[in-house]
Amino acid sequence: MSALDAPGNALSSWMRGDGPSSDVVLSSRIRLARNMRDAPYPPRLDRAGAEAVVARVAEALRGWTDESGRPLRVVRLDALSPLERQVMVEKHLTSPAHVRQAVGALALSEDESVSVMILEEDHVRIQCLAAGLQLRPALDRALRLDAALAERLPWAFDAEWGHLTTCPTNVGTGLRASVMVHLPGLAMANQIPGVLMTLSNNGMTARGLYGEGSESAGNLFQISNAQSLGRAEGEIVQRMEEAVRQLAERERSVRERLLNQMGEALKDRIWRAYGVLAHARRISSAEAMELLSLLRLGIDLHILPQLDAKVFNELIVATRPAFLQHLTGQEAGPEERDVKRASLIRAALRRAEARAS
Amino acid sequence: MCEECGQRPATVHVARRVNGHQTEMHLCAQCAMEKGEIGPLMQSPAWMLEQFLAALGGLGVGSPGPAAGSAAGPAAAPLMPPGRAPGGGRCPACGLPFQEFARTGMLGCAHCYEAFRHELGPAIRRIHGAARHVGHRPPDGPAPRPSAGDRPLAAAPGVGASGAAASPETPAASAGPQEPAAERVARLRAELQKAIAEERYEDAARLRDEIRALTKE
Ligand SMILES: [Zn+2]
Ligand SMILES: [Zn+2]
Repeated sequence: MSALDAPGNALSSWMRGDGPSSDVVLSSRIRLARNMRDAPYPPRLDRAGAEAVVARVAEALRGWTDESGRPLRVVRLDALSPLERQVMVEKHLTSPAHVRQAVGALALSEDESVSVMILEEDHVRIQCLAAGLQLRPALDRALRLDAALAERLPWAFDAEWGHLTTCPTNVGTGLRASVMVHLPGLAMANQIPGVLMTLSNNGMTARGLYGEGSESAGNLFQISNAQSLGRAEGEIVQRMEEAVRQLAERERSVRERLLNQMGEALKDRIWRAYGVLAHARRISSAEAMELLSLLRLGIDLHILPQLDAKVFNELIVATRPAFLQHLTGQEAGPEERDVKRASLIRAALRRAEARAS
Repeated sequence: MCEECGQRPATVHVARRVNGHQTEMHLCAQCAMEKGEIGPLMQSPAWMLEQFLAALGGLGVGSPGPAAGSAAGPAAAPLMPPGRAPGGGRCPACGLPFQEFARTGMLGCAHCYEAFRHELGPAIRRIHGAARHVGHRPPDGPAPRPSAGDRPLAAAPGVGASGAAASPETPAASAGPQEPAAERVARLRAELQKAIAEERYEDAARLRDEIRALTKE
């Protein structure tokens, strides 16, 4: 697995911290759900049927190459250790529901920007990831792969309801477009509930990325379209991009206002966060996320000129429990993990500062 | 009117299934937010599924989706068409019992959609606010049927009561007599943007529903 061949590589290329609106939007993701009309859907597949679906999809993917001419690598889930599977989830290359399947496979491009989940909730889920706000390019790439697969696999499609997904909440385009956003300013200004309400009224949903429900560790949120039927893919994506651009504008203006109003108090909070991250010897996942969010805010507001955004993106993945365990190469208890996490953060900050000087 | 404060209009309708009992609440945006009923939960995949199952179960509960703000309130008729025993039958292709689908929301194969078409139609329309796919088609995918093909779905009882279900064959009928539909939509869109900017969410929800009803294919 390319992700696992290079330990320490927490960053897929689409997470490197650039791309349009990258001060607020970390990444964009497109998912297309597809099923074959001549096979039972995953909830009603027996083992032999599931194996047959994996084989058919893997065969159909053969010969497909991404824009740089590289093929997808297909890995069976049962060829990955439980830890490796969890790392894939933490890197957003697959989903928790997918890695729980008894039979399934994951196809992954070399740069990890294209993945195909075989036997998740649907037979096939095409996923394309991009840095910053780039839903449209990601959609184009996903549709290109979809078109190639559609020539070889009989997609279940209805004139009225479009793509027939396992759950009717995904019917039609089978499209879920998502962006990962960092909203420290709106969170500090207590404007998150209002933001969520506005999004909801516009057919979108937002959830805290790592926390439960409305809780969000590190002020990271994932925003997605709610409805998949009745609008063309391009329109769904365009509406989301517009809404997210407005949201980013709002986040920026709140950050500026906070800086004007709080001045030294805000700078103090950010430098203290940096101080703890740069020197602590033990740090929990929750505390790390909270401080890393402040660190990133400091980078975006040019309060911490010695750092770049990349270090934040790297660390939010690298400090997740499974990835950390994968990096340290051993089964570590929570206490030991906190020590490892602190040391990893210190080292990453030192590297980032060396890069900048 | 909001059940909680009794002061603001109810724009959020929450369907719940607790211990096998269907309950529903009609709240204003503010109370819904305070009770934690909206925000991250609203429109999430889990929430959509919950609303879908509620609609499938024949509970006429509106949603903050397009059906909200329409006439489909708590008094709306059950969504199940008459003459079909609710919960009867299986998919002839994969054997999935309708009862199981109504519990999990997961279909067993592509043919389930045909087998349960009458039950699915209103519930799909309820959560997506649309009844017709627009967008990409696979090369072997059937072309869209002429709009007359909508008739059985559009005529389904219970949905007919909803403003959002304005017959797709007669889009002109929804336009006001003096204002062309396109202009009206443009004006409503502008008002919607303003309402969002000013955080008047109840107004925004109402405007959004009006726009959806007007732009319904
Ligand atoms: Zn109220
Ligand atoms: Zn079936």
